[in-house]
Amino acid sequence: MFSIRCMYGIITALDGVSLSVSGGELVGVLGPNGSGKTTLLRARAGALRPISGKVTLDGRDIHRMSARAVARRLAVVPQNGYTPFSFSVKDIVLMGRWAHLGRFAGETRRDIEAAARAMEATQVAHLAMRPITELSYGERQRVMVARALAQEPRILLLDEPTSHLDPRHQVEIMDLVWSLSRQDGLGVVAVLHDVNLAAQYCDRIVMLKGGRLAASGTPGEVITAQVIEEVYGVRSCVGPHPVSGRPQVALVSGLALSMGPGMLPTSGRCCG
Amino acid sequence: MTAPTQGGGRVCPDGAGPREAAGAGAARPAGRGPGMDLAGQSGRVANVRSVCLHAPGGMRPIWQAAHLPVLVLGLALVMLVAAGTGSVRIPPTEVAGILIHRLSFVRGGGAALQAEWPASHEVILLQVRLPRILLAAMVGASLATAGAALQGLLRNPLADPYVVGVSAGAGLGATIAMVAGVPVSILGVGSVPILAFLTAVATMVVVYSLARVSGRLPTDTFLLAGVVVGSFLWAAISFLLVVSGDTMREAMMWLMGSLSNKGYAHVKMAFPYMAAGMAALVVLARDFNLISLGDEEARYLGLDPEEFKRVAIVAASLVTAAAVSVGGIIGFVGLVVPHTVRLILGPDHRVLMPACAVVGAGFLVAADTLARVVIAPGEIPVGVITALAGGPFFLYLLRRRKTCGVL
Repeated sequence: MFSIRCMYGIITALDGVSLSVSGGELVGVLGPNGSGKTTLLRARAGALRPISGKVTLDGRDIHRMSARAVARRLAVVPQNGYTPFSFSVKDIVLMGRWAHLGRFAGETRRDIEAAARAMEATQVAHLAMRPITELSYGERQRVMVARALAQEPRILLLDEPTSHLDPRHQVEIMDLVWSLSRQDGLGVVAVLHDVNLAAQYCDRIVMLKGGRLAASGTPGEVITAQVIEEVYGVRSCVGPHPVSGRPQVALVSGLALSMGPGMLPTSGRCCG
Repeated sequence: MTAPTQGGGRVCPDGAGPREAAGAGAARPAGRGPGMDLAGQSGRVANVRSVCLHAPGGMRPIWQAAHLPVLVLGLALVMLVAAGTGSVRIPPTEVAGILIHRLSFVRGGGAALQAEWPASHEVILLQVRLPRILLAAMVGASLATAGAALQGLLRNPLADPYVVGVSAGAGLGATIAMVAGVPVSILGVGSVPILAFLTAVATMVVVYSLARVSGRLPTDTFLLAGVVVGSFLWAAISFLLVVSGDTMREAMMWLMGSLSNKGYAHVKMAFPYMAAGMAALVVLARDFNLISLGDEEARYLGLDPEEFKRVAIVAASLVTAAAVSVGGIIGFVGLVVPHTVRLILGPDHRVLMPACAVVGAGFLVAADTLARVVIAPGEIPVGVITALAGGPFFLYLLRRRKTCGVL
């Protein structure tokens, strides 16, 4: 996706941002609320036509491809999938096969196996017959990922897959997403709110601010106290993760400062 | 990485080759046979059910496979009883006898069955009751299917076929025809249904073009446009009724929905639109499943939402317009039948659409039979019956919605 510009009415939501992802790579998109993260994802998915710039998929202009052709190559896990109708989990996941089906053909053995595999991978197989409307948020999120996997895409886009999840489910989802990119060779782009999760899992991070690119590169390059302050406007200490060594951010609140310098961590690149 | 290092085009190695073929493989009918259960999932998860008794995601396989024949059989029984009910009673065996005799007579081999019934019965059945029953079945099927379609499309369980404003449009046409007393008749159909149909289709076109925003059709704008145009037209109808005076009773009867004084001409007039529209809705059933997740999600799954909405709205509105033009504004069928069917058979539109057609037909045939016998020789508008039956049921649904949060 080359230097695109997107507008809602007269509001420019995204200006001159580029994004590329290759197979086996996990790219994180970070930025404050309203910085254009979701817009970037929607543009990448072809749901939004940029007023300038070009979005390509397999070397072709995504807006010259049918939605069906796009869906066979690229899947999206939206932020809050909601339907008022109580489809079973199995039905929802099988909907991921729609783009692979002929108009009058039913699901084949192959489609059912793809759906079953996706449900195994996301650990929702035991929920197959449950109505989607009765699931917890975390379960529903995993079902959405299962549906996207049933599409058998080459590129997977996720919009805040860990929001509203407890720490265990956050880690589970991110582990899954990571293994999809590593083991299955998917190109993954995930919009994330949690800087630390992003730093831990992503190969590359794209940082947006006000619809423009603020920083991009490896977590080590992007996650610094300086960038965090620039983009989010908060002070922080950045130190290495005790296990992975990836940068981790500790926000420095007014409260911590009022407790005096003795309360501040002494190690790490700290600029509190 | 302001400059795309890999070149945006190389993002994914083409993996579509083998997958393209998947859809073309063994073409199973779109129905959900028991074989569709995900391997190994069918048995062990059946016991999870909340207090709300939700639409069963996991129907029992037998019921899943056999619901349609069972429903069709039920419809046939209702029609048989309806055909025998009225001021002149005709026993079901005789009804069946007349029909079989008649059918085999057409094929030229009816000598085997001896006519043992009065000729008047045959006339009453074939010329009076049968067209009316057929019409009731067609109108009921149309309204229920269109209701299911619009509920799915608008993702609103409270939508019915009339939200598009088609009913008010048809009402205006019918009222004008009655008030002005247009004496035209084409192929045995009076001016009222014809004008009603034309204004209904015109209303659909107006609402559709009003709701379009730069090539897109946002669902809520569409809903609002339908409601606003509908209220405007209802005001026009009220005005016409007030100034017309003596045709008020006739017009009110029509507006409340009635199938009296209808014949084969009406059946013939409405059938093509209903058949074509319903066929389209049934064929699109799987797409309705996708669109009920929302426009954007449907697009991500491969369905172009705008293209789909165009086809689906035209199909649903045509079906509704045809139904309203011959039956007047019969309420609640399009709302209550899809809900009931969804409760029992689940929300999958591939099951829902055909089942709604059959149940809607049976429901309206039964309601219309009541309408003509309850205060015989007088008649109650069938819309009153459906509302009397549907109103309390709808309240029940609302209560359920309150306790469960979803439908």
